[in-house]
Amino acid sequence: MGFKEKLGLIFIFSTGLASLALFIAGMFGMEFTEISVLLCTGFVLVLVVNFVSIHSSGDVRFKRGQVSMWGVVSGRNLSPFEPALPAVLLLLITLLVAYAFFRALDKPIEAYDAVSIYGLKSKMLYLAGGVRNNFFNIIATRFQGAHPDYPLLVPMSEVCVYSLLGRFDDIAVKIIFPLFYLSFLVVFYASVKRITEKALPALLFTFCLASVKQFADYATIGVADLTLGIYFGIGVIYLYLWLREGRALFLFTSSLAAILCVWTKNEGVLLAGIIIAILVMSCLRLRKRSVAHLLYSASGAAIIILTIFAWEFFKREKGLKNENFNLSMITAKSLVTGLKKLPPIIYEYQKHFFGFKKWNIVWIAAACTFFANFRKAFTPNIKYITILLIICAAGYGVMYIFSAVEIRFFLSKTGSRFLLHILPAVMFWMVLLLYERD
Amino acid sequence: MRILKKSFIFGLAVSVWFVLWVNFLVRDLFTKGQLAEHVEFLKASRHGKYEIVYGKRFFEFLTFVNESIPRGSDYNFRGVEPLSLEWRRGVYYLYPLMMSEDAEYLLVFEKPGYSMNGYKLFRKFDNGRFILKRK
Repeated sequence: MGFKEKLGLIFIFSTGLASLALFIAGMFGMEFTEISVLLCTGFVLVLVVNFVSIHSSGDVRFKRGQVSMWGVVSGRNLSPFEPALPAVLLLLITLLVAYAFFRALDKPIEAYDAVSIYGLKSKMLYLAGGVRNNFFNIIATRFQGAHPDYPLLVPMSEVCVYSLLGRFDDIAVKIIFPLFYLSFLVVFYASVKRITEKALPALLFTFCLASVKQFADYATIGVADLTLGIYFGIGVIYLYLWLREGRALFLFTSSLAAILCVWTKNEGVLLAGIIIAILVMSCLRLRKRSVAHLLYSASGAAIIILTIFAWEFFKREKGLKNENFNLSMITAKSLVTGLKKLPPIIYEYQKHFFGFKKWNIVWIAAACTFFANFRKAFTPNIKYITILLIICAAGYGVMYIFSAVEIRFFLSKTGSRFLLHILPAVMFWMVLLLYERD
Repeated sequence: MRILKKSFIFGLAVSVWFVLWVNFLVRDLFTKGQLAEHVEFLKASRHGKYEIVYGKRFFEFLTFVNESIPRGSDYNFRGVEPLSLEWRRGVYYLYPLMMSEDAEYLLVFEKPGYSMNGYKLFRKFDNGRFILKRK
């Protein structure tokens, strides 16, 4: 891993793990004081720095003479503007990041879910000075629609910031979100560069991701969807690198990201489950994979499974249940009625497919790239990411079909967010289809 | 030839992407008034930022409520549509005061002359914004 990639991962993982550690410590009675939170966060930071520093190798360096935008596919240089392009792209990315910071920090937490779910919970936890026994009960009984069953990565991260600041400040706390955005762009750039071995396409794809309006907007409003998309994106990127290069560091980076998906949003369980499924599938070709691959994959999958079970057990103990979707809703009867929901689901997604304002042409580009590289999409290693994305789409479809919520309302509230969860993974998959060697 | 064709399509896609991005960015900033909003927030004090977000009249009322009602009390809104964004922001802002169906205090917003059996006027901000307390 290169230095920049490490820095990005350190922030992303430290924030997630510190919020988890703080919650667990809070459940055991730890008070959230400046000192206790600082110690907890510092401890996690040391662990994460050590984790990402193991088995590091040098970053792929910029190769002169291979950076023309017009030659990015062919590797040839045709453009006289070649030297200026990387600088222009870097400047645009810098401006996008700066704008995200500005937008996040120019107003307090105010978006619907940001105040009613995440901001409210973090305020309660911070003002209580810890995780009180009646916390979930109060959320469930006194705050309608605050979703007591939602995982607490974002609220606990906000508690970390409040505690370290020593005051409740719902403007300053929003710095977490553009920091996630910036950190992930760095990680994404490094990952794409690892595949393309060229700086220009890496910058180009990083710019494209950063400029997707939905992605940039969610880096400023204080909800968990961008964070989930980032963790899932990291899970997918490093899963692919593990399959390609067989380095344990990549597998455990992917597993850690999957664990933090579970701790970010309920949908994270599905996304982490899909990463487990791909790990299992990759082991089925054991003749070509080594026994070490099997053992490592099994341990990576086991860590994620344990986390899912621990969280589900905790929710059951606390009597927390999701009213929008849970496994008890999957019945033959609801399948029959649910199939009638297919037309509105398809209609909603075609709106996003051609929704240039929110998504630019990313979905059209992804579809064209897929069809133009159909065979490549099912070559060894890339096929796992293709299958993973297909399962994701199917998984969200199943959730809509079986959910008890009125479908049009549900789609209008969640459709674009679900796409946000898979956007970084889809962008990386496009890079693979265009640049990965067969 | 095939490589050139691919390069051309790729370049075309990137160009379309860039044009769309610039188009929507400019439209949001200038036509939809986002730039003016940014300037407004930039000029505003910390208190002013809340006034812009919550609405001046609503934020004034919430501040008034926060100063008027004792800690540990519960309240309910009148004149704020339940589960609306305004309602959500009010609930969030007023915590640790907590909402309750059977509340001790009723926060009446933009409902001049509102009254309710079993409640009397507790404090008044203006004709449309006041607090009722259970008798």
